[in-house]
Order: sequence, then C-alpha cells, then structure tokens
Amino acid sequence: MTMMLQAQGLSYSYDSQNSISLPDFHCRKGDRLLILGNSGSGKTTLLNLIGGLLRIQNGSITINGQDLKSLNNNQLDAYRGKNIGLIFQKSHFVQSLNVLENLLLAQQLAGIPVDKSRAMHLLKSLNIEEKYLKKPSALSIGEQQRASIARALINKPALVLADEPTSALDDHNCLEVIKLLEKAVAEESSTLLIVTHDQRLKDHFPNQIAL
Amino acid sequence: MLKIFKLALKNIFNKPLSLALSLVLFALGSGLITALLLLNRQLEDQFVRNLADVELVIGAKGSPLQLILCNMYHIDNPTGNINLAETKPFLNPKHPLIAKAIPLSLGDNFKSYRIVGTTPGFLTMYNAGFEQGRVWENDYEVVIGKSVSDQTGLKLGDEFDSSHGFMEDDDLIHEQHIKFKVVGILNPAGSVIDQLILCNNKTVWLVHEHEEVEETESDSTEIDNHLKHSDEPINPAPVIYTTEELLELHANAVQELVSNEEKDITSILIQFRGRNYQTLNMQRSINENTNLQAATPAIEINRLFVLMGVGIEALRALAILIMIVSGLSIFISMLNSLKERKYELALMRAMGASRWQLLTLIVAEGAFIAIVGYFIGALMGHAAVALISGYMQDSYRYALDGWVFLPEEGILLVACIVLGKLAALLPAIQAYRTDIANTLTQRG
Repeated sequence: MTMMLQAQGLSYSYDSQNSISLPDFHCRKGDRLLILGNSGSGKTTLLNLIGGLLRIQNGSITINGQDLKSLNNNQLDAYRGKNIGLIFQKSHFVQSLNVLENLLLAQQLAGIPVDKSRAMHLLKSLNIEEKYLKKPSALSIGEQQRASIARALINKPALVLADEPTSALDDHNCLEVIKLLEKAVAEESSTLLIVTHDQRLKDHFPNQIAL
Repeated sequence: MLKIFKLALKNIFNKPLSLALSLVLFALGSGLITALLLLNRQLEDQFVRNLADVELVIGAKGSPLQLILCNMYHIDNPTGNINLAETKPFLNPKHPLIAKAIPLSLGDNFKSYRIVGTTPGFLTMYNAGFEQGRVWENDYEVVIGKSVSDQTGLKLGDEFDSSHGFMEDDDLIHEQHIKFKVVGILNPAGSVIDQLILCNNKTVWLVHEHEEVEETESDSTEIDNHLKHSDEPINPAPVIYTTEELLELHANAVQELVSNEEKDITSILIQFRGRNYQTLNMQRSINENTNLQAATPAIEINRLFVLMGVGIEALRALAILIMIVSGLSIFISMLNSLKERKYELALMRAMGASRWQLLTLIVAEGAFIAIVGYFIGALMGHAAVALISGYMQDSYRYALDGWVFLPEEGILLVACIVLGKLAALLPAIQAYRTDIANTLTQRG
C-alpha cells in the first residue's frame, strides 16, 4: 500500500532564534495517528504545515503524492478546501449562518456541488441532526465540536486533521466526541491525524508519535 | 461569487442593531440630499418656466421681489395699487419700446385660487390654449387654468362666488348677485397659469364696487339686472385663437380700460420690443421719477435663488456631513465586529476561500449597507417632497412632484456605494491579511 501522508526533514522557525525540528513520519490511507506532545513541542506547527496553513520552510510533505511545497497560495487554499478536513480545539463557525448552512458553505468554498442530503446524513450520524437550523452559538460546546466534525468531513477529505479536538470538553463529552469522530472517519475511510496533549486519548489510538 | 454576496447579506443582517444605526444615518444623509435635489430642481424649473418672457413688471412702490412674486408667481401680496391715469402711457400700443403690456388686477380668490383681472394678451404671454370653451368676452366671465378645474371641480358653465383677498375665508366671501361664470378651461401649461382664474379687469372692480354699494343700499338688484348672464349654454368645443386674434382682443380691452382713468390696477407685465440701454433707462427713470416701481423678473428671481441657495448649500453640507458620519459608523462597526469575526474569516480561509474572496465579502457588506441605506433614504426623500408638495399646494397653489426621478439620484447612488466600499476597505484589508494559522490554532 502506498503512503497517504509523508513528512520528511521538516523544520520551522517563527523567528531567527528559534527553530523547531519535526520528526519524519508517514501514514497509510485509513490510519489513525495520535501525535502527542506538550506545549512548545511543535505539534501545532506540524499540524499547520500539514494542513497548508503555514508554508513549508524546510523539508517536504506529500499527501497522496501531491507535494504541498509545489502549490502556490491560491492552489494551496483550494487543495486544503477539497482534501483536508480541519477540526480545531475551539470550534469556529460563520456566526450568521445556521449549522446546515455552515456545512454547505464548506462545500461551496471548496468548489464542490452543494449536497444537502449528505450534510443531513453527517449531522445524523453525529446525533445533532435536529439542531441543523440552529445558529452554532446556540449549541453546547460538545454539540459545536460534533458540528465541526461534520464540517470537516463534508467534502470527503482524504485527510482529517484535528487540533486538540477534546481538550475543551469534559470526560463524558470527550469520550462521546472521539467515538463519533472515529466512527465518522471510518465511514468516509479518511485518514485521521490528531494532535493533542490530552492524555485521555492515549488508550484509543495505538498508533502514536510523541514529540 | 454569488455565494459570497449572499453571505455578505446574511452577515449584515446578523447584527441588526449596528445595521440599524448605519442604515438610519445613511438614510438620513441620502434622504436629505435627495429631497434637496428634488426641491431645488423643481423650484428652479417652476420659477424659470414662469418667467414667461416678461421683462419688466410695473407696480406700486415696495419690495421689488414682492412685486415679482405677487404678479408673476402669484404667491405674495400686492405692493399696492397703481392709478390707470399714471400708467396709461405704458399701455399705449404705440409706445416705442414696449411690445406688449398686460394690465393685471388682483384682489380676489376662489378657494384660494387667485382671480386675475387681465386682458386676453395674458394668454399670449404664457402660450395658453383652450381645452374647452372660449376667452372671456363679458364681465363676470372667467377662464380657468387646468389645475383650478381639476382641484375645485369647476366645469364649463359653472357659476361661483369669489372670496376677498388671497386666502380662502368663509367670512370674506362676496355675496354676489352676479356670480362668476366659467366660459373656458385652458390646456395644462405646466406653469402658473394652470393655477389662475382669469377674467377682465373690470370684473375685479365690479366685485369690489358692489361690496361698497351693498353696504349703503339695502336693495341693489336693480343695478345688477343689466349684467345678468344669459342662460345660453356655452359651446364646449375649444375655440382656437391665433396670437393675432388674441392681441386684437387685447388691444380692444386695453382701449376700454384706459378710458377709466380714475380706476386702479395692480400691475403691468411688460415685454420690450428689444432690450437696449433705453429700456434700462426706462426702468431706472420709473423708479426715480414716478410713484411707480419697475422690477426685472430675471434679476429678482436670481436674487431669490441666491438667498435660497445659501440655505440649500448649508443643508447640503449638513447632509454630506451626515453621510460621512454614516460611513464612519459603518467603518467602526465593521472594525469592531472584525475582532470577533476574525475566527470565522480565518475559518473560511481554512475551508478554501481565497484572500480575495474575503476582501470581496467585507467590501460587499459595506456596499450592501450603503445600497439599502440609500434606497431607504431615497424613499424618505421622495416621500418628504410629496408631503411638502401637499403643503405647498394648499398654501401657495404650487405643485411639486415627489415622484419624479432625477439623473443626479443615480450619481448619488453611485457615490453612496463608493462611500460604503471605502468605509469597508480598511476592515477588508485586515480580513485579507488574516493569519489563519495563528488565529485558528494556538502554537504549542
């Protein structure tokens, strides 16, 4: 099986003094990988580089054979929209749109035809389908996080990147969200990469990298 | 692109309070400017149209502007009366400088439409033609303007009593034994003649003399008998007069008029044979050497425009100031909301939106507020003019149209959109520069 994601020789410096070196790693299609590390270890930098939110300075990242470095800014925006689903520690939404519209916007911005039934299907599998007409701000934190999982998956991304997806949640919600995330990712057969310092997740993911 | 505009609309309506503030300010500014544009243009149009080639107005001493406003625009009171003996030379058809001299006798109204005693020459001044009937030939016969007919419902053959003065007042209605009788209705001319009731000069004297007679004599029916109208119906088919025919009728009327040297009239409207230093001298010599006053309409109206212009300029400056403040309010509320919206903007970038799409989004939000604000304002401006028009028509019998649209309004709309875009530009550039990585993830 070919490698889905490959990172090699990455290092990144925000200023001239501090440079963060990042380990090489790779994963296959459908893998679930947990990247554990404490603050300052560079795990978010790694996630930003893979997600194309930061430009690569040294080294290379290849996703499904596509070298991220070879894309210009606009191509990178488009590539990310289509191929990478992002989940953040705090879920952000476009406040003026309801939950469903937020999902559809993700399709529109990626240039994918709007598919309302797919959005509803995702919301259903994440147990928040009855909230689809609500504004995101009216949802609980756990519900918001589930809605942002739905948004991350709406475009059937090859790769789902999650940045501390559970650290804002209590134990109960943490467990529920991570179960739903795993289930949804499995349904889409996407590759999942979680960056976290949340020790509660350790037992769920045998595949781990420590920074 | 369409989805970006749709999102921009959703975004501005997501903050109803700050939207309302920006809209109110924008609408105030654009509404005020719209109303000013309409008022200014229509008043100027009205005044200029009503100049009617009158080059000089002769009347009693007083304010020259008042003389013009009263005798040409029929909105002010007369400066006084002038004696026919004194004014006779100007009415002489052989006067070397004067081509046309139209005597006016004012003093009565019907439902606040002014009754003007004059000669058929008046019709030639305003290029008025008949829609129905004919010109006045006998005493108490009147020809009414189109607006008078429309507003009062007076029809051909109708008879009515007049009221003394220029404002409708039940106490001042003349109890006439002989009523005015409508013998003609004019075509709409779009000028002041639409608002007038015309008859011969003698009728105006008669109405007032009767009043005096009635006060002394209890029975005066006798005098009136010979003046009774014939009950013959008036042929509604309009008589088409040539200018020559009207001027001949005018000449006869003037001849009859000047035989009453002891009588007074209100003013004379004059058209010169040609404008030269002699006509200028004539005006000066009237003002310096006689008890009469001569005023040039164009000059007085210009003076009025200058006076009005100061007020209009001040209001316009105020309106522009309000618009700028409204632009500022859009700018500030956008900048404020951008602080909390920076996450969603970064998120949109993360979901595949380009920098340019974000720039477009924010600029479109500013433009939409401006456009909505403009249209609310334009509606208010037009409605305000329509309202003022109703008031003007009640008190001055001048009609404005609140629902005409000027090309300048298109320019105003474009200016509004530019202002809205400008106000949104700086916030938009900030959105353009959003650092998605730092905004969405905390470095660790």
